[in-house]
Amino acid sequence: MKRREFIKKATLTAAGAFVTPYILPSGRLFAPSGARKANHVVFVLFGGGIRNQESVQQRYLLDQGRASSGNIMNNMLTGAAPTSNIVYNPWAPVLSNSLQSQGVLFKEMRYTTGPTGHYNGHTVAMTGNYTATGLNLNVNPDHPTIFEYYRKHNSPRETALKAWWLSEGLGPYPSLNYSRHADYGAEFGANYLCPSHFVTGTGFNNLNNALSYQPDDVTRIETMKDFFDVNFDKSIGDLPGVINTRADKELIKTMLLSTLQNISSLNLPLPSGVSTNELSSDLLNIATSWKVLETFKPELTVINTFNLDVCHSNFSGYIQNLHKADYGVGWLWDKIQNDPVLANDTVMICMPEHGRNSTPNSLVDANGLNAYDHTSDQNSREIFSLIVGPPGVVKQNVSYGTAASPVGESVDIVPTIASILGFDSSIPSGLLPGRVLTEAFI
Amino acid sequence: MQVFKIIFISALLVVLSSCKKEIEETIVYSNVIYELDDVKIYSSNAEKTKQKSPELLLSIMYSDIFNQGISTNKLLEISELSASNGDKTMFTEMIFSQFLSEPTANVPTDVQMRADLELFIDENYIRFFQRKPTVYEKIYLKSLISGDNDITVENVFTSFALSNEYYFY
Repeated sequence: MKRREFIKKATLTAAGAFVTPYILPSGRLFAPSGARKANHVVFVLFGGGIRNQESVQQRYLLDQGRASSGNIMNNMLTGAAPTSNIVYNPWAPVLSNSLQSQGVLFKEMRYTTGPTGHYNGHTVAMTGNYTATGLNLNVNPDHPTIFEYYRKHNSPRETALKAWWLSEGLGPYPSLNYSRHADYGAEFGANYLCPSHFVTGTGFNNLNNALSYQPDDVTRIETMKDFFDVNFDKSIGDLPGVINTRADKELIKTMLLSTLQNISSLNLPLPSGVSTNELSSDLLNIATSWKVLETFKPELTVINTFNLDVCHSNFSGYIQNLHKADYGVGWLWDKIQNDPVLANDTVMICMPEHGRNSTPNSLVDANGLNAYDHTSDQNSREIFSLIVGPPGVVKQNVSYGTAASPVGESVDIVPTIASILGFDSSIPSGLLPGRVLTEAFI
Repeated sequence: MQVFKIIFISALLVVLSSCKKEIEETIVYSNVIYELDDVKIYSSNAEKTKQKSPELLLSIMYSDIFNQGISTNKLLEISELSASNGDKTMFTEMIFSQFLSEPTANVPTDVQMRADLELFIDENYIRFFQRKPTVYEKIYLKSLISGDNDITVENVFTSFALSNEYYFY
């Protein structure tokens, strides 16, 4: 071999060694182009409309004129539980250290403009843009969702298997996995699942013998389908919804059908000895979300809780469901921290979609407690946010904001998630009015 | 029979529109089907210009497999399960495989399929596409199936149900 040729080959080999991709512990082939803080984000829209009084202010029944205060969210927040006038069934916390001590609590954030309705509260949190729409319209939002920003701007691009939206209920919420924005849309959308309407007896009865296709069957089916499609000049591209790749479809079908057909194997966020009758649809959503996280290790997962909206007529039920949802969030974090891929590589963000009014409506529950609506008064714009993650990434046991000097807004969560996953600088300017909550990070 | 099927399904969808808020928009779209002419089968697939709504697709899929209209409750249940999933084509595959597994499904055996492939192809083009196959389509499909002993009736039916043409009327 001539010297020049040898040097050329040696140089190419050495260069190749530097650029050859390798499998990272997270399962990624390449490191992403932007600097990531973590490879997984779980955003819990801790929804249904939560007043800061009963959550971060730990006033429990003080606003009901009863001398009893305390912390009913003993997984998420630090503080002693109420000791008198107990109107809920207390569950021992699943976490030995509160999430507040494992991250940053924004005690006073604001939902600045627009009606404080559930759907647009969700829309604001998931698109990073305020909206004036107050109706529960069953249409995709105008602004791109966090899923679309992730799937379009993250490098390398990931399939929808890595982005999930799981909602407690149906109504307009299935529409939040992608927007109507001309530059984004279903092509960049997330997978969507509503466990309370799918992981049910109805689901089992209607899909108990459904199958995933074996690879050989897929080939045969695709061959014939391709033939049919070649002989037809229209396509089903306009069908609503995200469309997974063939390989991802089979993986998701297998997960869904095995969950339905072996429902007893689903891990449930219930304390030991507590009956499954106590399983709320919030907790089922969290249980199924864990199944998704455990199976697919998505990089971006958004889930919500909603049951405590009973506060419109039942304040005691609101307290009970707030306590249960807190347990579910603690349980989910515990599962994440015991997963070999997700542990120490996941940032979880919790935020209500909006608050509730300062003054009660005219309804009183069985315990004589006043109910609260959410009709866009100042109190219903007061929310909190909790960001937890690895100590080297997220500050630990720190809080920001006071009522007089709030820090952060609803629209800040989308840019913050984009920053955690390292693609914030790739999002075209002008699309996101919020900012990255840099205070939360090391 | 096709006209009866469409009228029955449309009537069901009207009933559903009064109790399922989240599928309201689709129901209105589906009403267009009332205006179809009394055509029993299409002379060619070029006549199919409108896309079926998800509910209409599920209804027709059910009647294609069971030779009877779907009940209101069943359609409500399946529509809700469909709404619970973001990937509609994936859900269609799951529910179709379930339909094929039901004891009352009108599905010939593999032996019956292979005993008279031309008849099988003719019958199922009409069943799924409401038209006769072209000469070319019949020759190609017959060759494909006869050349692979592992192709099952379920494979063929699934291919029909997942094809683009099946989504149009």
